Amino acid sequence: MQDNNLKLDNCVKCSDCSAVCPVSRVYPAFPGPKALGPDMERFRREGVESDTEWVEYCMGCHRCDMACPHTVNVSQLIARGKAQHKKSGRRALRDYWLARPSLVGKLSSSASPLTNAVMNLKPSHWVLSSLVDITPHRNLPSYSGNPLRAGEGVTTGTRKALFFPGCFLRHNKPTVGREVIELLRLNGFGVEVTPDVCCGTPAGANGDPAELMNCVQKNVAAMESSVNAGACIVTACTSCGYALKGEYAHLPSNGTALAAAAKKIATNTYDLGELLAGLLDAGQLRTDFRPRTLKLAYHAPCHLKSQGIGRPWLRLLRAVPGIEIEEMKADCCGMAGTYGFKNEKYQISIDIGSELFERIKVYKPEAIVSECGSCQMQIEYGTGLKALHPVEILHAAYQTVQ
Amino acid sequence: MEKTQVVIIGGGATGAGILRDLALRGVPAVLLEKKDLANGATGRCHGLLHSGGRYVVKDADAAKECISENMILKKVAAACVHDVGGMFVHVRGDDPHYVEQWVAGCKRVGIPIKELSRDEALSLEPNLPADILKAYTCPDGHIDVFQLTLANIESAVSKGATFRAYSEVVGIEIENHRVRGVRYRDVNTGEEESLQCEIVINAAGGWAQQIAAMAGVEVPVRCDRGALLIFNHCVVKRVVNRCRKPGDADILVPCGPVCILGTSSVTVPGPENLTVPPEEVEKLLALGVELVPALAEARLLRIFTGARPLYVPKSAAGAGGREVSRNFALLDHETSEGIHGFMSIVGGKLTTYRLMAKATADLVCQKLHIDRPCMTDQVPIRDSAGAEVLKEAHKWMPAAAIEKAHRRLGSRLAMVVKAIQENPAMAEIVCECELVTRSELELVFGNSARVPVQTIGDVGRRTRLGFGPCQGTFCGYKAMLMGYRNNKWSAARASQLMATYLDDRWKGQSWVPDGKQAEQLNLSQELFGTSYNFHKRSEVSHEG
Amino acid sequence: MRGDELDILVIGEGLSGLTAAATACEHASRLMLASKGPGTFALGTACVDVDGLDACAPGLGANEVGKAIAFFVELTSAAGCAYEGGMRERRLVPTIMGTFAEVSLAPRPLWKGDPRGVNKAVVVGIENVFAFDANFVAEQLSVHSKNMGLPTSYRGVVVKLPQSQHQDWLTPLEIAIEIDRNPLYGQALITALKPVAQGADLLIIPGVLGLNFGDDEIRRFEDAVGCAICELATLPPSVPGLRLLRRLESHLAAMGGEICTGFSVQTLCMNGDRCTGVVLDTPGKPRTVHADSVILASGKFSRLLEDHTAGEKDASGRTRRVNGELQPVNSEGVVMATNIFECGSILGKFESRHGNAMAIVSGYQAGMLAYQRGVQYARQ
Repeated sequence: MQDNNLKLDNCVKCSDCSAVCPVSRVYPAFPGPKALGPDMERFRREGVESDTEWVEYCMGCHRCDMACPHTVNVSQLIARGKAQHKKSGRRALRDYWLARPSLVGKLSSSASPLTNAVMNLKPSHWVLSSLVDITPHRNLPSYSGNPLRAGEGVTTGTRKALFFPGCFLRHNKPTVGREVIELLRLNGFGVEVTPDVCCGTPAGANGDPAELMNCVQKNVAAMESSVNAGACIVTACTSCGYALKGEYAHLPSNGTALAAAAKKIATNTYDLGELLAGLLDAGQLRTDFRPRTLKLAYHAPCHLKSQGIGRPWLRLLRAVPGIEIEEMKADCCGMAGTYGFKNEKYQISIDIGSELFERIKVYKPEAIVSECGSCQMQIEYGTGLKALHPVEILHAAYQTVQ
Repeated sequence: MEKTQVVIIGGGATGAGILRDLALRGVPAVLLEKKDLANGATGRCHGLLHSGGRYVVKDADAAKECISENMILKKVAAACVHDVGGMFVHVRGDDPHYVEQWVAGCKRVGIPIKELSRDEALSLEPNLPADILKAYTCPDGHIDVFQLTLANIESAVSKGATFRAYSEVVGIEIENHRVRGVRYRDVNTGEEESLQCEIVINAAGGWAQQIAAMAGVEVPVRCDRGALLIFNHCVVKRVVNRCRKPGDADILVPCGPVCILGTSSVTVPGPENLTVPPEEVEKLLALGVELVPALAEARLLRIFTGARPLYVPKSAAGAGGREVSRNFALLDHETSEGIHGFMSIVGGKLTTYRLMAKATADLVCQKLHIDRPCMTDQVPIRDSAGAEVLKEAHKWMPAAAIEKAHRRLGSRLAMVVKAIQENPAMAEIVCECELVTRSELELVFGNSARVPVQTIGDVGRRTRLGFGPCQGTFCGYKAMLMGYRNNKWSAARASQLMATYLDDRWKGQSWVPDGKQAEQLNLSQELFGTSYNFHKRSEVSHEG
Repeated sequence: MRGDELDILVIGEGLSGLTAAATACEHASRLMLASKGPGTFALGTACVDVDGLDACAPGLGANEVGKAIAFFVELTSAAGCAYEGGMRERRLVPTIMGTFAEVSLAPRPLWKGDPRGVNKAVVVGIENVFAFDANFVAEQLSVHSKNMGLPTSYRGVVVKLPQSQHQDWLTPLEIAIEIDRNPLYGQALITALKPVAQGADLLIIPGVLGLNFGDDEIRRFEDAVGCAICELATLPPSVPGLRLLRRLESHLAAMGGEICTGFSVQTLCMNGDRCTGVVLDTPGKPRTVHADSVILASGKFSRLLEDHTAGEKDASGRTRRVNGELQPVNSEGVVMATNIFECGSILGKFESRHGNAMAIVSGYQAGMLAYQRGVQYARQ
């Protein structure tokens, strides 16, 4: 059977998963990971009509997976429910577009000053809300007119990095993407940038497994040869990183060429922080940092935690003299990518993040750093403070950079 | 002195079927059962609704009966029958000659089959061995054995019949070669009662011999034990049979969210105190894996066992368990031993219970000079709830819960939904593995329950509570509390019942060889044994 | 200091792993606790019974047990989830089955449940919390305390809490989370309990106090109600157990330990008779973590090091053979790994009532040994 990694049979109904679910924490009516994951999968295999809208309320944070003492892949079981859930009307239309940020990015970037201006007018919010159920409360992220392109890498360098920027860095914050390239170059890497294909996480999250598979196929094809030539894939968004590491390896059918190639991609993917911290440990990272007095709060994204690589950015930023940085211990910021933009999930999103916002406010940092663009957006929205990618701090700290 | 016309002994499918058949004909009857419904072979079998395919080669008559009843039950017992379909699979290495005989036999008997190529078979059932030679579809199905028995009893009770569980018959009163009545003992209080009647029907299955002895009559029933293995989830969607001479572990039946592999055949002295030796489990597993390789990695939840009551008249005394005819026999002890009003119905199988009941009821009516025909092939045993109720239910309950509750409750789903409308807290799910709501449990415990519950296990048989991976660890406790709250049980009695329930649930799991269930069982025993200091595994023997 | 280079690695987040980690953390500078998930102690009452322990575990002197227990009491107190009791103490704690369990140590809110010295106890249920029945518990506790010749009276009452806006029933965990989130909700519970507490010496409630409550918050809550409160562990998810688990995790992190849960240990890396580290089953590529000492607290169903310790199997088919220093040995008594120390239920062969006690004692010992041996090795 294809599903050995689902470990459905391992569930002993202890509810450890439901006890850590951020959605269950703020929204008791949510059936919880146990009910929507292993319980529901047994009913699906029984052939009982079991579709429920509740699966849409799962954020895909993977906290349930990590809490399970028996390695049940709870979130993947829930994802199967999402893939089968029948949506209708405006939510189906909305989720179609939310599943394709690369496409949205291409369209928005091409007309960016206009789209940015129009998108955040009050009437536009109202239109989006009534037409496609997008929350009117948030500002939508702005799109750059100069997105990161595949050809932007640098060719020189002893080691080869294949930079997978992800849709947010590529279309919304390309400057940060360019800082990543620069930082890698400063540390001896030749950098190639992948073509504009989404990692597929939003497609999976919005119940579009065909689109997710489409992304897998395209990305594997685009990255294969570089990886075979010895390049390591570097992600600066933890969701992209988790997708490449955790999802790609098991999505294609067993025994196919795609499966083998995807596995190779998975084993050669590094989170940027993971890569740089490894270099730091090996004494191979440039540490000619300008001291900088700065009090930072750090939020660890859920998809960083689910990679199991610790908190590399804490180590990295602490290597810059003068930086004071503490992790704000909170389970989740509540944004979960496209989740917090949806009308019906907006309040849940805010309720989940409120603990984190409070903690940050009490800590009184000058800025917040987090590797996930989605978390950055949510934290800025919830605290009013600036939220940055940690690479921005490290990049600025290099003395050679003005 | 209590009085009725007919007393039926044995609350399995046959006894329940007779109760209903008579009720539909207006004949007053009381069914006495020493435990809860379906305690014997009915509650301990695969729940296979035979197409007859298993008998076509050796026992064409039995096969014909099966296919005929199969179609009738799909019509009248639709609520209890999952028409999942079936397959006979020619596993590589099995005798091709048997397959030929089988195909010819199906044609002869009239069982509709369709040949599938290996690829077609594998696309329908991906967990079959990749190298099967071929397969045939057939109209097998799954019967929910508890719901079938329950539905028959409920239907009968609604028409004035009486069912008494935990009532053990201890004597049959015969005067001048004529049945006068029975004496039975309330198992809980120990008190004995008398019940006057004209006719006594021995439908006691594996206990038929013991009952017959009370009338001084011999009924040769041989108990043949079979073990069954329950797996945590449906590894197959339809019944999968191995197309070879009937033997061990050649059927896998999806039963609700679990699937059941069986079975074996071992002669045992009686229907009680049955155990399953580990070697037998190993053997069954090994054979099962030949049929469905995915079973090697599937989680084994529980092992249970029951005794087939085989009617072995003197002429067939030398035959082995699977060679004895599966036909049933209706023994009129008036003609054979001169005892008026006493009859035994023996042999047969679950699929033909209705036919067995009909034959018995026909004989009863003949003796009572009642001229009413059998209606059980016409009247559905359980009514549907109707579209309105189902629509309303969708506002309060998850979709999967509704489908399951509807099957269990039929038109009484309306009562469950109404109770939730009046008090939305009743929609809380008590058993999460089977989606049993608090409202349904209240119904099961309440005064309007036609077949009252007396133990936590009884609740399980009505609702499947405790039949899932946790095996009652979490939901059994909640069911206990409900019984207490409904004034059914005192706190002391509820506690006692919980201990008995845990023993029963633990026993079947303890027979499972190492695997995930060991961790589940460990959790259950640590909670109730150590943490709550309530109950440790006892040595008391209970039926597995 | 390198990233995945540790002094001590603890595998397993049960009571033994957490105790071992806390013990070792006092001395070691780099410690990580890796586990696929929490142990089962958080699902039950987490009580400790040491009575008869030194008798059944060979090589364990009463002195050793005492030191470990004292450490555990200090640890839980520092973590804000204090335990009461000790080596020589025996108390009866009530349970949701209405029975009493006789224990040596229990979390403080449960320790208060002993019937001796209590005249009038009130068991409090909460309306629409289905899985706890105050009357049932009260009746059974009455019976059991009477059987022991105790005069304690138990009665059950049900109080009402404000309706949840999201659903019509409540679970203990939901109440606990709401109390953390909304002080008014906690206040509502206090208000509901106060009249019930009139004339009572003890209130027995299901585990509903805040999931984030520490000892101080619980004391304040009790003071506000004006009566001693005994908080029972309910069926999982059980709030007292989750609270204990989270407090111990936080405390370990505050002591500088790193916690990496959610990933199984794929293999142990061996170099002759030394374990150099483990490989964690992280997404993409596995993560190798090196350590000077490894504490194996992976539980009775663990398959780690199974091949190395082939020997006679016990009734459950498992075998754990360790020497007096908790090092794994083979059937000839040869040490398989000089820097692996096993603790907890992986050791097998003890009465189930001693489970948590064995976990704490062997965890403490393993923690001490891992540090001492680790330091010794590093100095060689």
